[in-house]
Amino acid sequence: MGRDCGCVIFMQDCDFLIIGSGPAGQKAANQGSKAGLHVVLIESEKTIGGMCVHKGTIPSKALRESASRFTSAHRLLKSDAPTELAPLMRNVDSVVDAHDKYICAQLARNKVETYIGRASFINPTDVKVRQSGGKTLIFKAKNIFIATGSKPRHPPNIDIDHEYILDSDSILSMNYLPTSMIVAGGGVIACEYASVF
Amino acid sequence: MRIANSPLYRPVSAFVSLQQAISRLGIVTIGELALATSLNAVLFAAPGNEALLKRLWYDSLTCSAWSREIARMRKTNVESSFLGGLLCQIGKPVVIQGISEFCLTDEDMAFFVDRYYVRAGALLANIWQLPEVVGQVIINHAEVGFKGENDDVILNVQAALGVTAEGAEDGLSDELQQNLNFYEEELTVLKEKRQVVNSWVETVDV
Repeated sequence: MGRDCGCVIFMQDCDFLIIGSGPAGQKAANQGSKAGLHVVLIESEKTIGGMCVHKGTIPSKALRESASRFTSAHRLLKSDAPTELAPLMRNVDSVVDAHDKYICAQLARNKVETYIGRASFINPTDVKVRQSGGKTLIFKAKNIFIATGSKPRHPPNIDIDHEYILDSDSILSMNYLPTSMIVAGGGVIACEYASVF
Repeated sequence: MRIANSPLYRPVSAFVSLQQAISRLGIVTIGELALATSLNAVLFAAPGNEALLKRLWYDSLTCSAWSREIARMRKTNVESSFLGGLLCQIGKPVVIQGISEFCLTDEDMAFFVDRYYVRAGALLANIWQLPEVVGQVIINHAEVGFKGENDDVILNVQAALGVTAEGAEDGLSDELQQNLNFYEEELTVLKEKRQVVNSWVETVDV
């Protein structure tokens, strides 16, 4: 840790700075550390793992598996009771929590320094990281890896209110099954959620 | 129907029946409006404390609207956050009604309300069979940093309470901002929602 200058803290240099803690960022961080580099990992969300763990791959697969198991059990028992979404989502939360703990433990084991904040470039080697609450950290890195991933696209002519019209992030916030649903798009994520619901 | 026909909901042509309003706005929106308008200060009778009940009612409406907007920004459950914001302090009018016949000073009244409103609210949630998440919000909304079931919704309501009391500029403590993961960009967006919130509250506050 370097000197504290008001709300800006100048950090020590690092060999390898990674922006984004999704699958690509994690792998880069772990491999960099195993190669003997001083690695710093920056994540803009509150938790490590990126969208893959918290909004994308892991929760969608967990939900699909839970839905599939519930459907099979219903068929086997010849039950016509309505399927509730809350128990399915609880199962998803436990899978996500377990994965989150696993990633954090792995990064800690590899001595990867992790910081929560939003990164931006000052120049090709210096990166400013703004943290929620006002503190700013500045890193100088020999190598920088950008692994910031993607986020859902919102068409400008559709008002996505996350209540009636949801995107692939907010769909996981639903706490009951809708009686009907239109899935716009035919990509992997759209097909996956169409099959789940 | 008057609220459904207000400029806020921008009907292309005026709704003439409840069925039409439901089919265009959705049963959930109509349900929220019905709940918000029926829970007003008139529901509770506490002679001599009408102004206080009116203020509490107005604050609850404002809190529910902020909670809904914050939930949208965070892509968390909008409906639960709205209900939580509306009902998190429902115990306050219950306590006021219960003690209004005693001649208490304002200080004593505030003491009893602060001390018992959570318990009264939880009891009411149980009697009214409110959704589980609303009961959890009532019980835990004062605990900043709460971790547990529905903590996302509880965090939305805590933020909404702060913004309702202090405004979008000062209502979020550093701790709340960090828990929400709100940066300058989100705070700017939040401030811009003031107009939407005020319009909704003015429309529903009948």
